[in-house]
Amino acid sequence: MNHKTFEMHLEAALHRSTDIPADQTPGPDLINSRNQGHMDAVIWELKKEVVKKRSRKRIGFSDFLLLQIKMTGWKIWLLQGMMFLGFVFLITAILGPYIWLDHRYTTKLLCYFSILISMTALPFLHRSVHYKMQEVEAATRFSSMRLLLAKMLLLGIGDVFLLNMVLITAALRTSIYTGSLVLYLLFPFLLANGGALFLIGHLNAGHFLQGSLAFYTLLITLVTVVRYFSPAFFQQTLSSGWLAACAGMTVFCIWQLRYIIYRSSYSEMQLN
Amino acid sequence: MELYVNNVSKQFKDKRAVDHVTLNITPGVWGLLGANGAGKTTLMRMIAGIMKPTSGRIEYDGIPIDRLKDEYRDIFGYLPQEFGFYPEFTVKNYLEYVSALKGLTAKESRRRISDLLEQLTLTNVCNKKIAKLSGGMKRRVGIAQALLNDPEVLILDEPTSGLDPAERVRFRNLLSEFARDHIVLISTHIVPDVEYIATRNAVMKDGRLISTGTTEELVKLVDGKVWSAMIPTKYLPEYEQKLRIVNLRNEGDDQVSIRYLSERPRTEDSVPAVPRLEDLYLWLFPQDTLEREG
Repeated sequence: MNHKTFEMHLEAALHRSTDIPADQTPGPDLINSRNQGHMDAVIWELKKEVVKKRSRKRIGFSDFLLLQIKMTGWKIWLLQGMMFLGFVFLITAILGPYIWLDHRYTTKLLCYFSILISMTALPFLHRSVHYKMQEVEAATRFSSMRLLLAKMLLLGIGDVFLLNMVLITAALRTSIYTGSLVLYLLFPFLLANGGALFLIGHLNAGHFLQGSLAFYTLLITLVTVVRYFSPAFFQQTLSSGWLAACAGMTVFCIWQLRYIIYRSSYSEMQLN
Repeated sequence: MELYVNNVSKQFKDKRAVDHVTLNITPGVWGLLGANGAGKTTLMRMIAGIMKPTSGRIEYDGIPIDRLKDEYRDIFGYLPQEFGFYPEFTVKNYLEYVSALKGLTAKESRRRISDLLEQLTLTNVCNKKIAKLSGGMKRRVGIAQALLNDPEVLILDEPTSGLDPAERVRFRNLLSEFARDHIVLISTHIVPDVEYIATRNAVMKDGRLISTGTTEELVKLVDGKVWSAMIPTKYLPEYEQKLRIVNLRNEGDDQVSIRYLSERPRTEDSVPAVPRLEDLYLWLFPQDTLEREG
């Protein structure tokens, strides 16, 4: 950074601290009239600029994300794909190949699929703790939080791809109304993700994996129980009520994500 | 350049791990000594900014580190006590991964990795999987990642654990050279590792800072409390019960020379010994003496 740029940054910092319009220069009487707390804020802002001046050039979040795609993104997508295929083979092995042509099971399978697609995130969310990388990662510029966001973005790309693949396949192979197909993919997926996000923000690292597995098991059990005791549940369409439910779950997911970023002690919980 | 730990405490559910610690850390090598459970790792995690204090604050050059955020992360390097690697990483992959996390540009990352591989004699193994390296080499890789961003402050938690004597000497020399214009904070209970290079030391016990000073100043605390004597080998078990023996050596002719800690001489032929930092450590943490004997 050259001196002129540094001077501009210092002036900007001073204006930020004193709420003085950018086109005015603060006089000594104005500064003296502030209380000590305000003076401390001014001094801190100026000192921060001095430290920043010593900083070296660093990459932004988008470059960091591209690097994560190169280093870990392809592994995440590969594993998501393999887990998904594994589930397809398992279902075929247990229920036979004609299960995919039986329309009575389509909406139920979509529910299971969407929960399992959400579950593919678990190995990657727990990996840092499992391999004891979390402390090194936490102490870096991008830290645990932004690394988590990068992982979630990468996982989200994989999830969207898989969900769309399943939706297109189901739409082409069945005569079930597309709205219903969307409902039985989207709602369980949002429910599963909402629960997982809640657990990320509230469980420490030592309990996250067990807690998440218990949660997903509960969800799959719930779908199975509803399947047997209330089969009419799987004959719904994407009505305004269900749209509102999906919107509510989306809001819940966003709320949990904001909680993780701004209020949770996520980084510290990874150390326990 | 100055790190100021201002009356910092950390309360966990069942324990106060750090209890009102105040410390002014200036350039040079600082040894942070204490037994297991003294609070060293918790304090280091707070200084590294990965754990928030329950009360108090930590300032770098007068600015609270939670206000500095990314700028603080840019100027420090951290080696935790326990660290691992993703199994698919080679040495180079790992350093590239951490470089990305530290926000280094591609050019700077390549330059720093190349320099550090050479400095830490890891060039020959740079394409080898980390899981297949010896303990000492893994530790060197850990040190390399801490130095990637050319930090002004280096925080190392038990860095020499698992290193052989030659590697420990090499490591000490590396740190001494680095610490000329930098702050280096090493936590350890291998006292000789800091005795020769630390400009100042801080001693922690039960979460509190009980003493700070140069090695010479701290060693004076046990002046007159360290003794050496020769005893017949057959009486050794009896003396081991009565005395805090910190070192013993078989001298032959059924005689053993012992070095022990006591307020006053406990055998007729005891002579005062020149105290060392390790004696102070064992005087303050007698539990460690029992563990060593065990």
